[in-house]
Amino acid sequence: MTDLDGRIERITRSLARGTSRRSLLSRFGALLVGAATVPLLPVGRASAESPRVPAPVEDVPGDAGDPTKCDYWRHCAIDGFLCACCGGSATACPPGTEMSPVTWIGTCQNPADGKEYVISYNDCCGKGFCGRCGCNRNEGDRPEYHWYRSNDINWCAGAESQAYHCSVALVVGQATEAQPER
Amino acid sequence: MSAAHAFAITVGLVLGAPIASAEIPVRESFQLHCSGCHGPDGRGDGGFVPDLHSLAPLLEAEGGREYLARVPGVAQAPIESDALAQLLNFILAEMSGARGFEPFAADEVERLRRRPLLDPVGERPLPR
Repeated sequence: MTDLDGRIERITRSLARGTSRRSLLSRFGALLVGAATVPLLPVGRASAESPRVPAPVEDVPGDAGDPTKCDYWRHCAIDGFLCACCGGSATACPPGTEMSPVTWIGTCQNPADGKEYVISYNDCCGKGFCGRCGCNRNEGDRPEYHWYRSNDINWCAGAESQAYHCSVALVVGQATEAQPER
Repeated sequence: MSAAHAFAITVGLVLGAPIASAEIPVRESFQLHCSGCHGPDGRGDGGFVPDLHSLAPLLEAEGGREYLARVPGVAQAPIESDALAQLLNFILAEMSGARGFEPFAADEVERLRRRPLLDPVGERPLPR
């Protein structure tokens, strides 16, 4: 027992000699800096950075479905690669890409409540084609001469880089009726 | 004008009229018809797309009022002229910074939008 007491005393003294309150402070400081660095990690945050990109509506009633699937309700007029398959999500660009500030806006019907919602189809730009989950649904799409209702336009024309990578479908509000009319 | 002409014009106006629409709140109308390019707050993209908060000088310039209703993005918006007049007035009142302007009337917008601008850049009363 005396031996055990002695060993614990040596360990405790050694710990006390090897560390200090400053050490505790420095480690705590490192933790703080580390936590502050987390938001700097490379994830797409165009919507957080720019008021030019619409703020998505967070609570859509019964927003069920798989954003990696073309038949997901928000994708009713999308033409491109789904960002949810490209390292992003239905509402966020993949790391290393920028959300185009100009886009086209239409509506899709949410099967959960039967209501129309305003959808902003923003392209994510700055990398080559994602190539996964190609989806071409054209409900309400119009020819390119009706450019602000056309999904055939590369909306990355309004971004820093014109390289198209994938598309998101942001719900930005509830709609009174389907637009364009179907 | 003969009766046949009048009939043809009436049919043409009905068929060629902008898509009919139920009463849509003006903010939703802005979201649907303007915000895709001008952004959710109407501030444009800092370069290519004009900032709707800088429209007051254009409105006050000679021919500016007419220009605002004839510019393609406005004149070709797929909504009736009364809704379009409301939308223009909303932008002018809420964003442009213009004070004491005469609101657009539906028949004024209807008349102006039928005279398209053939050269929207060249015919702009104030250069950008």
